[in-house]
Amino acid sequence: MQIHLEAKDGVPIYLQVMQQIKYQIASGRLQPGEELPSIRTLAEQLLVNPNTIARAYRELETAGVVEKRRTAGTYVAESGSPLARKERLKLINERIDRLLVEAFQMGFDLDDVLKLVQKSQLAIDHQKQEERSHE
Amino acid sequence: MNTIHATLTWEYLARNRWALALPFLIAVATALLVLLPLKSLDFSPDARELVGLQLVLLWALLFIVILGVFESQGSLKPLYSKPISTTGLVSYFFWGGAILVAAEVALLIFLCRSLLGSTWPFAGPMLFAVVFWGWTQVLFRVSMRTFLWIPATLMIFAALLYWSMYRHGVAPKEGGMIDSSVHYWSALTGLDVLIAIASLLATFSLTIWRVTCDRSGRPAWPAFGKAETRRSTINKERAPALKTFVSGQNAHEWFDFRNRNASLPLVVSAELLMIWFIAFAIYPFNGNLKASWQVAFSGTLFVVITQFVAAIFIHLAAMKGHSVQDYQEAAREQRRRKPVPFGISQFLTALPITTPQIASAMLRSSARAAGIAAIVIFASFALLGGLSWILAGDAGNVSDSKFNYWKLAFAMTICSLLLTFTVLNLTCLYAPRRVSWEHWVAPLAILLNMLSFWSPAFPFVSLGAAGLALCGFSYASLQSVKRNDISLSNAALLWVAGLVAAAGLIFSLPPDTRMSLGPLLGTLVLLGLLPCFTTASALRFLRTN
Amino acid sequence: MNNGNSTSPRPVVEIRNLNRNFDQKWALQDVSLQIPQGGVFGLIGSNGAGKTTLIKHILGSHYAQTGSVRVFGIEPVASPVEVLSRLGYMSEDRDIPGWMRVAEIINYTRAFYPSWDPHYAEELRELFDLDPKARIRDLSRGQAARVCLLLALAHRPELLVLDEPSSGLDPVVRRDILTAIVRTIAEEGRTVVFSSHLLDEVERLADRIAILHEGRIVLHEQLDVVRESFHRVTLRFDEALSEPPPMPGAIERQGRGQEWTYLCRGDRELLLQAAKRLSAAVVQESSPSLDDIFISTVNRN
Repeated sequence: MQIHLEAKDGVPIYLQVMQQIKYQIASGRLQPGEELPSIRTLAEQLLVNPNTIARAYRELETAGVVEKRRTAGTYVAESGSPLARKERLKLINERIDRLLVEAFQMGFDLDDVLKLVQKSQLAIDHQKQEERSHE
Repeated sequence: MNTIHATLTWEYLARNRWALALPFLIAVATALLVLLPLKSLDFSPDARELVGLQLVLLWALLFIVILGVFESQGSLKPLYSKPISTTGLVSYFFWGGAILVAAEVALLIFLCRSLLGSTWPFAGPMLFAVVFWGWTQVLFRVSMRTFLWIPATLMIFAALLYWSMYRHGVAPKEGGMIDSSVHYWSALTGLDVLIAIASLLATFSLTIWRVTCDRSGRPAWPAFGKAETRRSTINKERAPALKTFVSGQNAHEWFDFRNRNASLPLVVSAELLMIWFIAFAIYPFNGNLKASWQVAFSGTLFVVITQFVAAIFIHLAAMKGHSVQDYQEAAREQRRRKPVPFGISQFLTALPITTPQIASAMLRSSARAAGIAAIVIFASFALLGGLSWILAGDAGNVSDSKFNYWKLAFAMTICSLLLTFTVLNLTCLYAPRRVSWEHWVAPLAILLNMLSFWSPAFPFVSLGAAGLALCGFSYASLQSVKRNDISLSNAALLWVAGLVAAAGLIFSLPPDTRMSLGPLLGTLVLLGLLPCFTTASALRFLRTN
Repeated sequence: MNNGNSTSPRPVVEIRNLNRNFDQKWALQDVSLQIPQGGVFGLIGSNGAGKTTLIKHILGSHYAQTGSVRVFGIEPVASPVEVLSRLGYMSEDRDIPGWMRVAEIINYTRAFYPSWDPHYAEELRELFDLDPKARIRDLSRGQAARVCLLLALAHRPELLVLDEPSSGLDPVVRRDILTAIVRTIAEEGRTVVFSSHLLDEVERLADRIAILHEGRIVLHEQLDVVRESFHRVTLRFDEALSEPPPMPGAIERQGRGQEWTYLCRGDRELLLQAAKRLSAAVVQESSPSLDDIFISTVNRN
């Protein structure tokens, strides 16, 4: 599992770990039911205190994003779980909030943003069609 | 003198006052030690026997003085990067050192003259000293990395020593070493001056050449460069033989021996080897085995008398943080870490070993070193004794003395052993400003005894020193038992051993000398055992403060 | 993993009211510390702040002039062997004898520790790529540091004490050292104390930190608590100000005109309320790094 820590991000390390794990789950790089590295392994890989990783895993577990099976390690929670979905919603809402704040600061209004979103979606669809026609 | 020379001089004097003064003082002390007893023995100062003695003494003092000046000058390596030409650099060290050496030798001779009232000359010895200094520069200024320096050194030293012997008329002749043509090197002949000038010019140029090569990183001789790389690869491939250590104390004994005390038997063996080498080297010149025997005998005597001086140097060097390994590998140029006195580094102080255990390890390693040296010395005496028995036809060598040869050899070896062991463990040097009075008993008692040879109150001063030693011994043993540095039974054992040894030595003396030499022997025994009580408390200051 | 709760076992190191004076200069003034078992303790401070002096007290190289020092509940000066046999130490100078070979110094050090694990030592030696026949004076600085680290780790000490372990070393060696620290505390019950002025390392590894400044402890806290109690806020005022108004717990302030940035310690809520009262808008808010916290704490004193 590839996690990259920013030293002077201003964000505490455990939080960075949590965010990156959540992002990887949300983007599909970590599949439901997949095992996360052990606390010790991840601590050695990132060169951070195992307590920090333990805290991150603990809070992820409280949020329902991962589940800890006794003596067997930590696993990504099944996607059907309502808490996991709640986490995913929270993540995406954060992104939307940030998008809107930045857009407004740059002088765009809600209509502009919606139009831009639709335009991006069309572009993605178009690209997918092109890929299919090349096969 | 340009500013760089001025700076170097200022730095040298500021930094090295003691490094310069101390060996000189040791040389003075050695001279006193050897000469003052003779004064009380009523020798005529110009007696022929004394010429030989003066020569040997000169060599010894020269060795100490040259070593002192050389050591205080330090390495040239740090100055390579400064804006000074190689010639300028070498001139400063070469001629500056020569002046210092000549001055010190002159001062020493002056002292000897005033003390002994003799007519020892200045000219010859000073010239010899400067020429000798020149050759040490060629051989030792830049470390030689091939084995060739050993035979080169031996040959050059032998040649120089032979020259000085020849000029004293002490060179081997048909009649043996000492005959009527023996004289001091009072007058400088034209040949002397010629040899000196040629030698100085040659050594100066050779030194410049070697330093130039070293400074530019080239090996002096490409062929030897190959030998050098071969040697270092052999060195690298040789896996170290690892001993199994029973305990930390055992391990530290090994460490202390390798780190500092091993140099004592090495130095003693090297000295004796050189002496025997010279003894055999002169045989082809005169075919007189007896002369060779006398050279070897006086040489061994010299070694046994001055062994403790070597021990002083080793102890002082250890105090400054040098280790024998640094010299063996000429690694003092690479010393990038700050010096660690007696090897008691931060690393060691964090190892789980008690201070009394460290003390015990250090004492054992110095006992081993002094013991090995004593065995080597006694072997030399034994060899001489055996040889003299083979050459039994000549009555003049051994049996003209009123002392039993073997008894004398044994006694001298033991006394030297005790003194050397004491000096190797002078606890006052571990933390000079902090140790209490009983640590100063040893050097004080030694000094008193040396002075006692001079004063007419000889037996009383000697007795006083013995009393001081006894007081110090008692107090130190009480303190160390109280502090739990040593168990009561061990302390009792040491007391018993001390009393038995002292009694044994004193009663082995002829009855008429017991009063005068007895206290001296008693002091020696006490001082030899004193470190067993004092080392731990002195080390404590080094380890915890 | 140990969370430092109130019923935790006795601290590994307990220092109370320690003072240390060298030639009329106070190296440590009224220092009190507890280092709990099973965590990483970071001791930070500028050069000359007294970190090495403090560590030497833990080792028993300095006796306590006033106050008390206890390691594993024992006084290190009185019983050096009991303390030091359970402790692994790496000094700042790394002054191991240069003439020894790697194999020799491993063999020598092994004799002192009953708990020495020769297989682990061999494993470390291979991991660190140390040639047993090499002489220590021929090793590079990083290699020598690795040797010291090996010697400190091979007997699996309960307490690992590292004095400026990364100073003067390249990132590759630093990685080895940090990995060793992480591995050590991953094993239950073992404690690490390390002093450093490389604060990003301390930030990654420490559970608790203490900041030492001119011989005094100016901060002694769990790292999480420290991070949560320091805030950096940028406030935008309605009009340009020449002097920024005081804020609760402000340690440092800089800026100009309408925007001023404060570094504050304390409750975040109080801060935001004060900002609202001054009718200033919070433009930016972040968590200061340990570097910033250290600089501001030290400057303030």
